Amino acid sequence: MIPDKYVALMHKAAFDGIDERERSELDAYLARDPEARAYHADLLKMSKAFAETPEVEPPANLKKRILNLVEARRAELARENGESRSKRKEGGIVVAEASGGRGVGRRTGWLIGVGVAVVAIVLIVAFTYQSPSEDSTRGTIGGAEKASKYRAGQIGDADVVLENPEFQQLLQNDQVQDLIRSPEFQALMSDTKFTELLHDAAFMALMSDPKFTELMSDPKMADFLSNQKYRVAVNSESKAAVELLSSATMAQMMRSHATAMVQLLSDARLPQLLSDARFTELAQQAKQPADLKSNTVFAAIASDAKYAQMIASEPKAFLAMMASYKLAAVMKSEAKMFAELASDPAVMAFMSEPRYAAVMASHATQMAQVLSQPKLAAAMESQPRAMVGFFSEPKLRQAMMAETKLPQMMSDAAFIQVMSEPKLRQAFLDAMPKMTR
Amino acid sequence: MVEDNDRLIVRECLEGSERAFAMLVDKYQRVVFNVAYRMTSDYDAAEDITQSVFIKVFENLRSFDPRYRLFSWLYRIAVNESLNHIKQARRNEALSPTMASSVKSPDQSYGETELRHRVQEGLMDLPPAQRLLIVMKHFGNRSYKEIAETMGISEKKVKSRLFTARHLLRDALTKRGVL
Repeated sequence: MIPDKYVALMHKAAFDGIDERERSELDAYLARDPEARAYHADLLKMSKAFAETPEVEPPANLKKRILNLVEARRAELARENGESRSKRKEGGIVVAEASGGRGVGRRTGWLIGVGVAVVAIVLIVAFTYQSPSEDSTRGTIGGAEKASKYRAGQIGDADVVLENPEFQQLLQNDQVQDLIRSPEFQALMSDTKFTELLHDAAFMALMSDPKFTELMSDPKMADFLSNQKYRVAVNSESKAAVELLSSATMAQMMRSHATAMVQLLSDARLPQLLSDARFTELAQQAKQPADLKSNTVFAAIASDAKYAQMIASEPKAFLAMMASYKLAAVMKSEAKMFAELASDPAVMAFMSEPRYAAVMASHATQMAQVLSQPKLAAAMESQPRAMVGFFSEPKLRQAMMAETKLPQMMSDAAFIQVMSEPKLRQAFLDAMPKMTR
Repeated sequence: MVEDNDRLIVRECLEGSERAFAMLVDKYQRVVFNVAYRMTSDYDAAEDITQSVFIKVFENLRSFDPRYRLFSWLYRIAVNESLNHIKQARRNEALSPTMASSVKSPDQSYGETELRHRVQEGLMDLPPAQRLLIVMKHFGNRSYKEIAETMGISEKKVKSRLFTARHLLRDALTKRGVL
């Protein structure tokens, strides 16, 4: 057992430095205690190892990403404060314009749209949920009474069955009340298509699934629903949610894939994702829902059976992909580049290709990993035009889509490493215009 | 001189200068990134944390008390963000072990030597609070005083806890054949 005094001295000697007197004292002790000598030697080796460990080099574009995020936040704060946008720099990326322009990439909007729709479903179902057990107490209780006066006629009091005291408490929450009072929410509730959906047998089956009941009674869900950030997200996108929810595609998807929807909604990561500040920020950037909806290519993607199949067959993978902060970060910080790419007809055509959806369905997690590679974003960013050219080559697209093992290959660590090699990347990017000529 | 320069940067940032904020990021991104990386051993997470730190700096710069050093304030945010990330990652791991296992080891991708890799692994064996002390002292080159300020404990406690942390690290490194 080494006395504390010498332990302290050895640490000081190895990591801070000691004076002559202390040195002599320590040396004298070390000379007579082999255990102390071994300990001291280890401390010196550790000190050397620390000194030899270099700083880790941050990613080259980290500063740019940070500044883009800060700029987005600045614009958001300006919006919140009702300030004019004139302060924003010309060409500043980040936040989609309120009208016109390209805004955030349609693909981002597409993902977010689904995310927001899921949020809206959770909330709306919370207010219209019918319990499978008919002997339950029915009627308007607690906050539900308040809620019902804001609802349109199509949904009667009998639709509101609320047994969970925590849920009643949630209904008393001012923020939730604000949400219920919002014109968008009321519009949704009075929408004929939406009420049709609510009374659809398959949809009712979905709502009465025990997993869903469990989800709705979870206190975490109540926390989540009363979360202010979530409220802001739903409020800001409620119009989009109304449109999406009342669309035939959504109804069809919910009908055909009730179990998958339950799985998705009851996944513990969903509230976590939706209440995450970064997801909220992304959701708030999703503008132009009408534009999205009227876009024929987007409509083609959304109504493609393979797209529904993707969510149905791999709801967890889909969620994992959406929950990937890295993916969100890439999309957000490279919004301009994504907007350019995504609004290009060639890319949209590529994305509407059923085989693309099929590949995504079977390898969603891997695709998320590939997409979240900062180096991939860097490559795309440096040559967006070339990348568009690359994607617009029909033969290449066909070849890529025919190869179902492609995502596996792309998500392989060795492949990513090779592709991220600067010289190779440069050569590839240089050759791209010739390849696509 | 350095502190005066920081004060100037802060003042310009508060006046809305984007250029000043870019300077601030330029100056401190590396140190923030390194703290985050050493604490998480995850290159991508370190990037996320660094971004969050600067967003927080941007949002809270008005609350910064110019009597203190900007660096200490920023460093404290970096430490808190790193610890929050670790907590969150643990929760996620409990929820979804498959997702957690997909986090790649940065050393596989960024080619650190075997010794450095083992040192980092040994570091990850320590509880976060002790890991933090090692990171601040030996990778961040913070003084005992700065560490004490950041952690809100006395210098004496910093020293004594560092002894314990180094003891543990020594065991971890011995187990890995580094010592």
